[in-house]
Amino acid sequence: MSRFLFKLLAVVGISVIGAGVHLAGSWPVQLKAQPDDPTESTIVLPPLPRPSQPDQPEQDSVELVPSEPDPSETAPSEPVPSEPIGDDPDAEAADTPGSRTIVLDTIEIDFETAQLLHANGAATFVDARPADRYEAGHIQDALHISPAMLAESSSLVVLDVIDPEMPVVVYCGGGDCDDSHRVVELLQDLRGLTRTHVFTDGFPAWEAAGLPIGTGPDPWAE
Amino acid sequence: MPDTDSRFFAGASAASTFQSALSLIARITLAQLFFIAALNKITDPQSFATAISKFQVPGFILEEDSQNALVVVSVFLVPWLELVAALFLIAGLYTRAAASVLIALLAVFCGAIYSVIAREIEITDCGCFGDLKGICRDAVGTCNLVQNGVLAALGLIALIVGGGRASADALFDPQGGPDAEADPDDADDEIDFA
Repeated sequence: MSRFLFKLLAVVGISVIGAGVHLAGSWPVQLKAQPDDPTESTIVLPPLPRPSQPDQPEQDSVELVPSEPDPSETAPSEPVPSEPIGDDPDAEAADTPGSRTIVLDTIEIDFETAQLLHANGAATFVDARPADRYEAGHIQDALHISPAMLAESSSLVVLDVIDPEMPVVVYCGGGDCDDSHRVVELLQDLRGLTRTHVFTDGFPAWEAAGLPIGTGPDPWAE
Repeated sequence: MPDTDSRFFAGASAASTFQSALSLIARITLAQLFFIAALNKITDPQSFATAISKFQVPGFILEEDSQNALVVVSVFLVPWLELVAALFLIAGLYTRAAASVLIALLAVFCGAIYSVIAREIEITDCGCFGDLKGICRDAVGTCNLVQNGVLAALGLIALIVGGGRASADALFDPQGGPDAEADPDDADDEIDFA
């Protein structure tokens, strides 16, 4: 029995030495309870579309008698500047009546905010779940970056697709799912992204709400 | 024939071919899983710390403003226990001691998983293998207990049978087999699993 204990102590002892060296090499240890807070972003969304008036008569699509052309109709239409959607707080759209402003200053964002950002294309969505779940269904246009992928390689092609100037919204399976937080941490560490957020309700809430989803593999997957 | 050689062959013949094969499969399977899991945890301590914290075991929860000593020790010690035990198992050196360490770790993991189930805490990723997903891909639950039970069974095979013929134990420790002839000087040094 003493030989068995000696062997046991040998295995544990070598482990302790290895752990000690590792700990010393990592000193000071900085284990974070959650990822760093993101850089504050202000997103200006365009006004909501006006509701159509039901009493308005339908326009006749057939014109029997040629009429004088209306100069305003024949003039080449100038491109209508789209409402700026971005994180520039000085954007003129902020003064546009009906425009909405979202301030992203927390790591976690709620369902409504995620929905607004997605509907207006104001953020890059990233699915942090395993590949099989991503392929079975994901938020429309979401990229696929899981912690396992980043652990294997920090130079994924899909990382180059992310616009560093736009907020990044990472989600996973909702609940206590941690993959999204891990991906946010890794994006912060590997790519220096600071406008990274976690959509805490995740894909289950998105799917349950009947919002746009996509299926199949990520086209940027290697 | 030199005495060393006779001890070697005595040890090599201690375990039957079937037992040796069984032990080899069990310990290599168990060892490679823990080896990969350990490397994942060692290369990414933050991920393992977060995983530990999610189990919400009192005393093992990450804090915002300070480092929890228990979490820090666990984050650095557990993966190294897994790694060293796995390497010993792969080599078949000190097989029973290494298997005991992994069985003890699996018992702790099972306790933590059971506590999560009992407290109805939903954890989608147990962090059991670092960032890699094991067999259980849903929330931590009974599947993880069964998974760990299977791994513990593999460990028990290695613990009972020992390293078998294809092991460093057979080379350096001829008393490793369950049927090895007992050395009068080491009468109480071996656990008789036969």
